[in-house]
Amino acid sequence: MIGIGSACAIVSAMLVGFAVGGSLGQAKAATLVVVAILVFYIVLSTPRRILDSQRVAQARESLMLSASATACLSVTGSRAKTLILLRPRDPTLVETASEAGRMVLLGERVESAVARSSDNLASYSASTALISIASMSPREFGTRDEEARGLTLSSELSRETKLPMFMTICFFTPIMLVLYAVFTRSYDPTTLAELAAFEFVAIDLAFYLSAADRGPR
Amino acid sequence: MNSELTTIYSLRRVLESAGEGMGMAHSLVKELRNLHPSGCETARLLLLGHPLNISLRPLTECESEEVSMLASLIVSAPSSSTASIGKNGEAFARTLEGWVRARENGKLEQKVHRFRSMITSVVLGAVTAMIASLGPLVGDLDLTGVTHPSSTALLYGAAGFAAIGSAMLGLFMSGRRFYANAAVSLLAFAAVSYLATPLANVPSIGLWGIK
Repeated sequence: MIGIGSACAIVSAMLVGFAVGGSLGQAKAATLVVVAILVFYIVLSTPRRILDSQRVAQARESLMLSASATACLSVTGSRAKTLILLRPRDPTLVETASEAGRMVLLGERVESAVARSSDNLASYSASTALISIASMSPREFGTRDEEARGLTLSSELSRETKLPMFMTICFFTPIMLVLYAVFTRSYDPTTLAELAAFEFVAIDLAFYLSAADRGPR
Repeated sequence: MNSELTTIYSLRRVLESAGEGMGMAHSLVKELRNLHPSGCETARLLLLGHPLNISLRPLTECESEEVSMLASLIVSAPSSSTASIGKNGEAFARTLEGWVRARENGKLEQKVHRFRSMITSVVLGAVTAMIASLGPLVGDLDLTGVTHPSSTALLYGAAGFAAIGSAMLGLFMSGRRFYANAAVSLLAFAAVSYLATPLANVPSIGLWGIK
């Protein structure tokens, strides 16, 4: 991942250097280093962001899974049957439940099958919902959305922090670039186009960094 | 009321009825037959004799995640106990209602943020237009007497800068409707640069001679 990140950072810095040309003067080298560092961070944090979004989806899904499993378990009285009858909607949960069901059908104990297959889950609520089926003690339903609520709250707080930051960048970057063009008397269309390209890259990077933890819509 | 919330209320009433011992299909038809359009379709399919998993497909495949989850829970009823699903599902439906209400509040906040982003775009357009119109004039006030190149391209460049900044802000706030931000920014830019034209076109006086 570090190799991919470094390669992306170098390539993007080269492309930005090509797009910006000589319009930034002496600041060009420092700007390219900052761009490379930001691209490296964005690439490196991609798996975490994917995992976060999966975690939110699984935490929400775990409630339905828990309600469905509780009802099914109270009727069948069998942990194995309940596990096999589970019908989640999230792709990772579907894979986990079917894997656990397959292991149970092959003769493995429900506890170990669930414990082994639920290792892949990003959400602890989903994992707990499955383990509660295996432990044959379905707890009372209705108090398990703490993780989903916590994730939503954290996403809202993150958004509240990043929104003013992004607005500031969007507001001041064009103004600063116009002032730069005025003070350096860079009135020719080529230089202005290069500055516009730089503005687009700068705001685009800020966009990705601000939109990283936006969570569920 | 929000159609999503209406559907969740109806499904919650279905679960309440099921929890009290009424048949799932009976309560579904009773509660959903007046709910347009997915509820009507579900009731129609149930009355035609289709099983729950097929009849509830308009709801399980709908865009709302909460409605889809609740419908999926109802679909799982035949493999367990209807009464038990009704009892557990009622609490689940209340949790989902809370999520939908929170999302509705989020949408209202989003509207306020969009309005703020519009105001920011207008101010951005006005400020960049002011700098691009008057900046070269102020910059020319030196005593060297050197003539500077025409600043017409700067005006177009500044309009481009303002449009890019506003469009990205709009993209962040309202997704596809980013062009609205860019449009209001460009309108403000055009208005301010038009108003500043008389000032910007003041012929430069040779300060060298005065000195």
